[in-house]
Amino acid sequence: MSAGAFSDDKVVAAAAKIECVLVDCNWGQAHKDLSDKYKIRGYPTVVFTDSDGKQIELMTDRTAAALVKQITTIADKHTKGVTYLPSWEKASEAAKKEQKLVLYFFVGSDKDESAALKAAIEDDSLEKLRESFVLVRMKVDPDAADCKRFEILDGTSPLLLILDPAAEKPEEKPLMRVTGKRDAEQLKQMIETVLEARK
Amino acid sequence: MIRFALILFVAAFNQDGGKMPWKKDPVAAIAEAKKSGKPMMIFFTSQG
Repeated sequence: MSAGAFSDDKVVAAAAKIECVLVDCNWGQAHKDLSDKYKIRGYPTVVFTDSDGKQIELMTDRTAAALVKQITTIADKHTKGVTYLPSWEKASEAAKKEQKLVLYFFVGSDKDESAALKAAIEDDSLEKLRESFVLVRMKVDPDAADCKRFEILDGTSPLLLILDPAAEKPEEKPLMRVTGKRDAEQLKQMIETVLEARK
Repeated sequence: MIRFALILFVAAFNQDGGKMPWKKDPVAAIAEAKKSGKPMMIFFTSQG
């Protein structure tokens, strides 16, 4: 990569979708097991793998734009399960870039309700719908910046927000606000209604 | 002279991880990827 690619804001934003691992081989003196596994012949070398460590490909182009594309393609194709980003800041940035909405899951202290809502969000029947969103998840903490931003004061029940990051003040006009547990079918209908209204 | 310049270039290049959220403990990072289901970008470098 060029010296600037790893400092490019778009590359850094895309990197939230993958695990970024730096292996300092100390000129062959350290991490020899990993170097052998991925047949490293020189430095620097960037290897992309799936979550089990199986090599997918090497970095193909050193420009920032190409690296963003490669990271995004690999993340979309090889991420297992449902991926959540950790904050509104990261999610809104990614959602703007991908022209998606943000689905924000605030996990409440009621474990049963939160687990039920999580199961609904991650249900296979919503797989296609989830492609319209960047997902965020955080435990309700009234002191956290995102809880203050979205005025999440009661941390008992889980809460789900659908937000348009392109809106002027998305926190003031959520497209959907659901408190408490829902099953997958209920959630699917709600999300479809939101998406239908935006067409 | 050229060899010296090349060494300096390679050293500087290798150490530039930019602003990326690198995890520098590979064992922990690989375990985290497995847990989260995220693919990995592994940057092999030599800073030692």
